[in-house]
Amino acid sequence: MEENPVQPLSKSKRKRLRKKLNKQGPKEDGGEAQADLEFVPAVQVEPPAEPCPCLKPQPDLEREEESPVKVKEPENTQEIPKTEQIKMDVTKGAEMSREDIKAARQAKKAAKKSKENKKPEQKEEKTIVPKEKAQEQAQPKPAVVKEPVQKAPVEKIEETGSTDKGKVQQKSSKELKEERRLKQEAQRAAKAQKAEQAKAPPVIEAKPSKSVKAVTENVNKPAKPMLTGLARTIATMARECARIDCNPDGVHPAFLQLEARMQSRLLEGSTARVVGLMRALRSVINDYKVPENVAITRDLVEHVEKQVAYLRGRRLMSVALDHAIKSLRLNTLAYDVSEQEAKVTVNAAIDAYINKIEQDMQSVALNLAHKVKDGALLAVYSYSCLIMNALKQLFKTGKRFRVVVVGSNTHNGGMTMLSQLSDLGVECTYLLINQVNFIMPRVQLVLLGAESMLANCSMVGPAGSAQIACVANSQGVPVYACCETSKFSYDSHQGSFFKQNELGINLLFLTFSPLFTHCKCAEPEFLAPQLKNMPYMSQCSLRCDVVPERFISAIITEVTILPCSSVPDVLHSPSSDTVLKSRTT
Amino acid sequence: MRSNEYRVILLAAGSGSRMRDITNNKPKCLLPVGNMPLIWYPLSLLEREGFKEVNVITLDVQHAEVKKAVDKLGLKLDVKFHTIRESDDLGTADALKKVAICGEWKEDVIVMGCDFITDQSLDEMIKLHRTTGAGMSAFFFPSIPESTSVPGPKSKIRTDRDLVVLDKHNRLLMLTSAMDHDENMSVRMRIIKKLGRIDIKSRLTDGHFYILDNRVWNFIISEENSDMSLKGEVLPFIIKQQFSHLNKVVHKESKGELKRLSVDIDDEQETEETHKFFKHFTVDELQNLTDLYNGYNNHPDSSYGRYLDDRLRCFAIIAPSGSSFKVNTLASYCEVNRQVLLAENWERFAKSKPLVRVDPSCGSKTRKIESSLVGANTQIGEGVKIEKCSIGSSCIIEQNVTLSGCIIMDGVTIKEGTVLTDCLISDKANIGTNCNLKSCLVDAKFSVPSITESSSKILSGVLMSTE
Repeated sequence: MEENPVQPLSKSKRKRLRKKLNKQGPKEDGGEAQADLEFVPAVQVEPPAEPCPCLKPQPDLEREEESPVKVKEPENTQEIPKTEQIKMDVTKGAEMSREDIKAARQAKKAAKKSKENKKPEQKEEKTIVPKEKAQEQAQPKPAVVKEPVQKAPVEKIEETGSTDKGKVQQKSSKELKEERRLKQEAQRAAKAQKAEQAKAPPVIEAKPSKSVKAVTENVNKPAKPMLTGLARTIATMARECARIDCNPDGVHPAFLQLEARMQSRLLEGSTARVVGLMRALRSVINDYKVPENVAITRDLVEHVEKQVAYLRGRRLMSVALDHAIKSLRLNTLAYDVSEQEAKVTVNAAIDAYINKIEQDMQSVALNLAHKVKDGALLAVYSYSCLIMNALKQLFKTGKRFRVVVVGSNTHNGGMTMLSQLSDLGVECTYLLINQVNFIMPRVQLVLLGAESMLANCSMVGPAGSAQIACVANSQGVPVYACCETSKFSYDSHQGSFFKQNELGINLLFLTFSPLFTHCKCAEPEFLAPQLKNMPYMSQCSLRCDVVPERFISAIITEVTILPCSSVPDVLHSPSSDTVLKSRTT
Repeated sequence: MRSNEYRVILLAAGSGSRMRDITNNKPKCLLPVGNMPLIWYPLSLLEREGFKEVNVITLDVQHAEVKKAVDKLGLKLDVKFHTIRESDDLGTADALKKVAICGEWKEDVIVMGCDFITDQSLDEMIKLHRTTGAGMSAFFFPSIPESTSVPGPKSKIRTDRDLVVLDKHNRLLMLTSAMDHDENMSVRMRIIKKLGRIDIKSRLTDGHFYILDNRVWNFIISEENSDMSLKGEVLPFIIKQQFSHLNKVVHKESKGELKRLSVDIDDEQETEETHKFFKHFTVDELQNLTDLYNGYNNHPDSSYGRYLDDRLRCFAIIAPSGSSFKVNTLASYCEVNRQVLLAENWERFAKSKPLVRVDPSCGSKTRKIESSLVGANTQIGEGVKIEKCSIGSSCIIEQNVTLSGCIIMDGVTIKEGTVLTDCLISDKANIGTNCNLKSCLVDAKFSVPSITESSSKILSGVLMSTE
């Protein structure tokens, strides 16, 4: 299979692969660990590694961006602040949405214009406009991404140091906020203007830039540093998560509830979310009434899509959820189907999918059984119902093992795992993620529950997974990711994962108003009071983590145990689930 | 926008039994607060939160009056009136059943009193209800201090306090009236064992704002519910059911051996009512499965799952101090009137409506009016001093009158030279010349003779005792 990766896996081949893997398993793990021990964290960017064979079919464009991916790996970022800077720039590039780029372009135009009309009275405004321009220019251009090490520090000086550095330092948080708001307004205004002018193309060039200029001048009067890099990204994310323009009109209460529970992190784990989604969909379908003179097929699809769009608007959709919706095959309903029949069909599809989830979980448990020896000491991180279920099955079949449950302050999943395991009677140890280094030498196997596997072979897991995997890898402990193939994703988030990530809850940073403990946590006014006075602080608490391919020894799926590099093969395999296949078309 | 999610019932048939002195001539829901009828506050709250339809329950004798007043408010809400007969003396739960006759609702239901004034956003309360998946959410806020000055005799009327038992997640474990417990209040050991720590609060006021899950609503309006009063009987019953063993989530695999049944069954008398109640809670397989796979657990330190594996959960929403009022006593009525006079408070409670201090129809003679409200068509004479008062419409205030801290309703005549401090003057009362009243309550249509000096008294034609 590895010799000819482009061709899909046949069933017999897969079987062979499994045997091979089982035989080679430990050896391979050792080898890989060895390789990683040699890796010394260094300032310089590693040259792009030999792309793994399965990445070959991918377009060249993505290979270009490979160096930032390397930089992003945790070993580097932890040790050297410089690389941190790089990371920030990379994220900037990735995080820029199309609107942002548009706005930036217009701002550029505005700046140009202001340069042309140089007038002595406008001095103050002028000095600032180019500053903003320089910064915004830098963001969308991939050129920065290509040579981040040299560029990054220089750029930083440009940003803050040009003319009024002293002024910059004195800005209060209030002013900062105000400015941020104004800037957003400017962008929004620009966008609105553009939309307005869309009908009359020739006018676009002159008019919108004028208006933008007017607004940016206002913005820059107080002359403050812009939010940059990471802080900016997080602010954007928080804004998107708390978006109120997401119209809840016509959204079914079940979906509103689902959204609320997901947003406030009361529904954790992609499997739980899928089941929750199915439950919400069931109520939507059952309450659905087909309007007069409308084909049910189209209207139902639109109706469901509207509900899903609401979740998507709050950036809560993930691969697993996408698959779940696709599996219902709403668009394949017969044209002349009656409302009742349609409901029965869709309900049956929901049941079938739930069944499939349960079966997949059992299969994963069976596959995992090959890897867990009697008396082994396993380490798990946070909560994963897939791993929980597998361990339960193992324990019931009489296998005895001990588990180190690793938890963190921001996810209470570890505690959930712990209490469920100890309920079973499994011997457990609980420790927090910052102590994981000490226990690792004794551990034989690390199990990570994956939210998703990306097409570039890295794993998405709860925040902290990468750290565990990294420590395990450095000490030669094999790391297995548990993931159903329905969570395999066609996306390969090169660069950063910010675009897809969700904001988590950082308990340390929050004040708890007695009324709304869980709501609104992404908003700045819920910061603890002592942190409000720190203008240069922006809180960051992310929900997901990306574990790079080389930290993972194998993926345990419901089909077989695969090496990480096989993710694209599974995705392109015709024998894999038709649901997956339907995504390519 | 919310009409597809929540139905709202506004209870406006209350007689105001705790403030008889001012409600014997006027429906409680029309008492003026900041020159707006009381019922305007909940209605405008609903309007600005995007509700389209409200069901208002009124007494038949007051229906016409209330309807006229509500129509005059010019709200965009579709207000549907349901009347109940005064002579039936129905409890709140019975009244709700009356509303339910009109049709079957699939939505969750919000039940609120017409005397509820808050600056909190309904959106947040609803969100909290949603995220917790609560069967019932009730709204509480810190009580107003007891030292609030009240016009009328200084009789110590013991206010009816609620005892609210909460866990650290604001889950509502018990709700009883302090009156029901002379000396002792017993809490079941099982509750304490399960939760480890509970808080009993005695200084919280129930806002009579409840968000009811559809299943709970169906129970309340069903035949099986024989209780009369929502607050007194039905809700405590529902809250108690949280600890029934029938309330446990039964997962597929453990259907045979009910989980931890032995712990729960020992002191549980399986009453018929409990069974009847849980008949409305059909098993939601997918919800159970979601819970089973969910990594979130709010009780990580106990051996129970999230929310203690309960299907029915009741939660308390607790607002900060001063954010809400329940206008059901004379003290809270006076307090809220005082609060509303401050511009910033007015903005909090009345949001959309701009504050009109003195209605332009009052003329512009020389006078001194400070932080007060004056209604339309009120005539104010020369040399009048008004401070911290709210004065209704069509009043006549003659020369050299001094008013401070008073609540004066509509159509009141105050003759010249009178000094009123902290008084409450009801509709169409008549106060003679050179009176000096302090902390007095003047009944509707009562004429106070000239040169009366009095303090802390109820001035009324009939001898009345405060109930």
